[in-house]
This record gives sequence, C-alpha cells and structure tokens, in this order.
Amino acid sequence: MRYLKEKKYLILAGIICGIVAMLLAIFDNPKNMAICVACFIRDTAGALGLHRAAAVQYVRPEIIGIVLGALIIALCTKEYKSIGGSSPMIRFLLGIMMIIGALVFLGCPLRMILRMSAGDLNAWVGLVGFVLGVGTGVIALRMGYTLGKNHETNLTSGFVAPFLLVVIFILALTTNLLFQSESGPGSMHAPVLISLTGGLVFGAVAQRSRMCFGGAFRDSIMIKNFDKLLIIGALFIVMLIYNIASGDFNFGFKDQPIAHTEWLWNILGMYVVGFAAVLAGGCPLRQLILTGQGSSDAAVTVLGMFAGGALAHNLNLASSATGTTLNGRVAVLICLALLFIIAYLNRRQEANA
Amino acid sequence: MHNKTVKLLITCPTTSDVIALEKYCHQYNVPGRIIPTPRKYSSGCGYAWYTDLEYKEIILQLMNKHQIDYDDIYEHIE
Repeated sequence: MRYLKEKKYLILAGIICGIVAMLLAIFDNPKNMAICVACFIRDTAGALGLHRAAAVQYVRPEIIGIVLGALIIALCTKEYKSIGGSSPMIRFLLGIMMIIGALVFLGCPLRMILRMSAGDLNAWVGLVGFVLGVGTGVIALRMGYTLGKNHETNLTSGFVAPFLLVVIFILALTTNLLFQSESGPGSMHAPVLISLTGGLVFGAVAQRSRMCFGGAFRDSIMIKNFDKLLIIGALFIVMLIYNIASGDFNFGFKDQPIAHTEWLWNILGMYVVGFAAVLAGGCPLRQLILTGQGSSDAAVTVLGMFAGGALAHNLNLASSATGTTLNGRVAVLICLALLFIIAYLNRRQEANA
Repeated sequence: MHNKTVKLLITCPTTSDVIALEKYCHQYNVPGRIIPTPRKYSSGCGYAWYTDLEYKEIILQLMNKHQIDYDDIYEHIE
C-alpha cells in the first residue's frame, strides 16, 4: 500500500513539473525549450559575459528558482545539509562535459524529454545515446567507480552558491550590468515572476521526488527499479497533450525548433551527458537540486556547467539548427576519452582486489 | 490483511560501498539486494542494502573485514 502511494506521489510530481513546463512554454519561453537546464545555464553564463554569443544571453530566473525551491523545501523539511569534499575538481570537469555534450545535442535530458513530447525524432535518437551513456556509467559503478565520500562542512558553505545566484538575479533586475539578448533564444522568455515561480515549484517538487533523469535510467538498468521513470513519463504525457492541443506537435526529424538532424552527434552528445551524469551522481537538474540542499560538490559541478556553457560558445562547440560544428565534434570525442579515463582511474581499490 | 515485517536496511556513503557490500554478501552467501534508499531515510538518490534482520551481525563483520563504510543501519518496517 505504501509502495503504491509512493508511486502516486512520483506521478503527481511529474504532472506538476509538466504543468510548470507547459506554462513556461505558453508564456513565451522558446519552443521545445520551456525549461532546459543546460540552455538556461548557458544563457545565464552569457548574461554574465562569460561568452559573447549575443543570441543566448539572459539571466534565467528558472535556474535561480530551481536552486532556491530546493533550498527552501530542504530547510523546511530539515533535509538541508552542508556537505562537500568529494573530488571537487573531477566534478567540475564532469559539469563542463555534461554541458558540452548537451549543447552539441541541443538540450539537457529535461529538454530531450520536452523535444520528444513535441514529436522531435532527433530527441528520440538522443535518448538512445543517453541510455547507452547511463549504461556505460553503470558498468563503471559495477567496476568500483567512486569519487569518494563527502564530509560535513561549515553550515554557511552550502549557502554560498544559492547566495551568488540571488546576487546575479538582483543585478539582473536592478542594473544594466549584465547582458541581455535582443534577438534569438535568449530574447524569448516568460515574465520574470512567472519564470521564478515556475523554477521555485519545479525545484521544490524535484527535491521532494528526487527527480533525476540520469538516476531514473541508472536505477532501471542497475537494479531494475523503474519508479523514477514514472516522474519522467508523467511529465512527458502532460507535455505531449499540450503539444498536440496547441498544434506544436510536429512528428519527424526536420524543421524542429532549435534542433539538428545529425543522428550520430545527437547520440554521442547525449551519450556524454548520460555517462557524465552517472559519474557525477546526477543529471544537470539534479546538480541544481543538490546545490540547493547544501552540497558544495554539486555546486562545483554547477560551476563546471557554467564554464562548459561559456566554453561551448567561446570555442564554437555548440550546435545550431544548421548542425554541429567541427570543434563540437572534436570536443565530444575528447569528452568521451576523458570520461573513460575518469571512470578507470577513480576505482575503489578494495573492490578490485 | 498484510502482516508487517521488519527488514534490515544499510545505507552507505557511496554507491561503490553498496556495490562492494553486494559483492561480499553474495560471496559469503548472505541473501539480500540493492534497493533505492527509501525517501523517508534520505533526500539523496543513492542505494541501500536490503536484507533480513537476522544477518545484521554477519554483515557488520563483513563490512569491518572488507573496510566497507556505512552511514546508517535501519530496522525497516514494511
């Protein structure tokens, strides 16, 4: 009975997150990108001047909202815990790679699901890569991969990342110091209050339900537990209904909003994201949630994601609707090599004996 | 009518600890399996080792012998 009740909560969590995504889409966030962690971190990095791609610069209140939503709910439920110290620089690297993989595909796992629900078959191809990447991560876990245990840190340490995000948000609201796109995806956004509220709700629900795209597939592959897929399934169905009802459903490979059709790089890009997500202990969304819960390790991963977003545009790695770039393809291959090296070098000694 | 049973649940600081525990439990013929740590015990999305209460002492010895860390041991009612 308790088990069924838990499943109902997971489905409800997915429905709520789906409704948030739907409302953000209705209120003018880019199509098929209602709420994308990779894209929105990249936009926020651009607003800070970390990259100069004029079309993708905007402080996305959703990112701040997700972290604060998780923080508030964790404080209310006494689950906030300031922790850190588990191989931070490797996590930084994994954060960079997650975003590079995501921006070659054009979306984090959350946006992949949103694109899938809009009939974008390129995203379904990306899903194949994501699942294969998670599967490879599971093999690494089975072979003893670990970044070591974390430790409790000073209480204030866990508040630093949420505080910095709030400062960025205040600067965006009250000054002209930050960049803001006048055209392109960065110029398309819901009103600030709706974006922030959406992020807060999304973050709180994701914290309570332990929503994680990497974790959902990891559990399915590693221990045949499919519970967390219920959240993703419910979110997918809500957005599928919305897309069909709004006329945004476009079944096929071509003419999809902010997407390309290069299937190999869609697979490999999401393979990098899935593999890195397992090695880092969570997908890009989960890293934001853990940051809100007080994890400095996750916060370092998020910093890596900001660096990855900046690098992706400064070094011309990010794809566009016209396709991938040579630099992006090379970067994905380098990420693949690095991921295998990280997985191999960070094995539990005792497990290999 | 569902009879409540008490199970043993061991949470570890890392996934590799749980996997190592699984490996040695299988090696020593101690039954059990890996499950996602129930929500009431953790806000994380890690794993726990789930077995019968009677194996508590054997598992503690086993963890000690093979230097496997654990966070908590619960008597899990279901």
